[in-house]
Amino acid sequence: MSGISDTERMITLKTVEGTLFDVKSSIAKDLKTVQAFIDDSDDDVTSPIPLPNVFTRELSRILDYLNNHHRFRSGIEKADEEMARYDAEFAKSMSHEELKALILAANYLNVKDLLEFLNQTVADVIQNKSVEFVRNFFGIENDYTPEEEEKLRNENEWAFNGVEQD
Amino acid sequence: MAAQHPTPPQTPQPLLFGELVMEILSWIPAKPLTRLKLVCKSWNSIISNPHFVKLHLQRSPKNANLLVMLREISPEGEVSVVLSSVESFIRNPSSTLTAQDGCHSLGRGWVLGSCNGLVCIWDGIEDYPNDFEFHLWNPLTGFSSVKSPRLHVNKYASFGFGYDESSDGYKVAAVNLDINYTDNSWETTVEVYRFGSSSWRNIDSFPAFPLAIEEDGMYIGGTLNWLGLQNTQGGVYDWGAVTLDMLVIVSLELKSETYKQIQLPNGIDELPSHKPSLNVWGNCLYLSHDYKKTHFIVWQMKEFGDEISWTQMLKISLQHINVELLFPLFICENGDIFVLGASNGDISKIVLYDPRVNSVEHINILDKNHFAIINDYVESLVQHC
Repeated sequence: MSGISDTERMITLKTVEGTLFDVKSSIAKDLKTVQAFIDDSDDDVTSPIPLPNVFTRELSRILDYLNNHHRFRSGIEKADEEMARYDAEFAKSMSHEELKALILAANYLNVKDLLEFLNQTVADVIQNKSVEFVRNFFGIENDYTPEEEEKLRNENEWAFNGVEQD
Repeated sequence: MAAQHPTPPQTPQPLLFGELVMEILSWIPAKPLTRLKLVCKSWNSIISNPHFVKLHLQRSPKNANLLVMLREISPEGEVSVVLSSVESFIRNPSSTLTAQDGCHSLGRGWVLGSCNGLVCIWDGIEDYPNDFEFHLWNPLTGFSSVKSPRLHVNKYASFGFGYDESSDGYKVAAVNLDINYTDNSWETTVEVYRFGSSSWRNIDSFPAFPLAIEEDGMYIGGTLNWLGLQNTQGGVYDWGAVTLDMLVIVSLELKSETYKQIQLPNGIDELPSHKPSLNVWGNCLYLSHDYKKTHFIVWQMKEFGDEISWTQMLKISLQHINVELLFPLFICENGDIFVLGASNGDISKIVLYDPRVNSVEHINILDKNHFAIINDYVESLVQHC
């Protein structure tokens, strides 16, 4: 019986800049937002699926991650170490701005494993930084008065033990 | 062609991150996380929210930390608590057991156990030697709960502390043993207190003779566990009259407050010369006992509740490691390292045994004055009542 198996089917995605990416449908499954779009369509999706919130740089990285992880999972036993090394390199290769942009893209595309990994990466980045650094990172305004801040700091004094003031 | 990528749209970042913030924060350890309350009021709200605290607890590394209760060996013995990571304890048990830094003094309180980062402490009451009060304490945040109503017990009583997930409740069970010396009969009353409720409640009496009345009930998988003796023919036991088939583990399920019995390992073929010891470390149940007075054996119940899963983790000759007595202080979850006490109760001599390479390391701790009990512990921001 003829028929293209699922894993061979290609899906085309289009980024904000209009770049087209051909993606195996087995990889597209990990982009849950895209998969939902495909599932919801009555007919086979032949024309490129537009992703109005996703830029080429981010999609490229996401697909790189997914392709590599699929490769690690389908292969030999040594994969765990290799995967950990890949993940570490992947995280290190990005600036903070790129990391943030990637999280937002992964969130929009609903790529669960990658998103969790990126969240943990950001958690690692911010956990020992000053409060001011974290505010800048997320673009958050300080809405405490100096008195409120002082009070909060005192109430949680144990957490500041041995840590330098900002 | 070197394409310059346009930058993402300039929507305010906090809006874009929305609930991702909660996800990100849930991966941060408790102490740095608490500092981040100062970022802004909404972050303070998130971090203080009980639902978030639960998510954060779920994400905390399991079996990575422990709590050591040190008690001076003297009638007025002072109790102190030391927190440590499993890793640094194994690397240098001596420094953890004699720590001055990060040591919390509990006066005359006693640590009953720890769940979800909360430690249950029981305190005696001045002038009332058989009356006790219990409360919950989070050693990280300093949180201290309201005290339980007073409990009056008999001379022989054993307590256990555990968490009931179904009701999100923290409970203490007290097993009272009453012995009638005239006719050698005995009976038990068991009371349970759930933190936040107004009183202790009686539940069914203990379904066996509570052999482990001098020890605390061991918490694992929503149950409290004690060694017991069944079919004691009504008499008060004397170890010489005990037979192997009488030994059983009584398991109290905190959700239903009913009992089950768990059989001891099939592989135990003769009665140990002393009462075996039941312990929980790294969320695993261990049974340890001596063998013919020449060996020390440790069993692990790989799947709690499944009697077929009892596995002998260790059988070591006392002579081989040059000690007369061994008791377990702590066991690593994968059985890599056994930390054993080698003298009679005090922690002055410790043996680190690694079965993978059959290595024995004797450590002398210059402290004959304390004994130590080690509990699993997890850092959390949990508060309760």
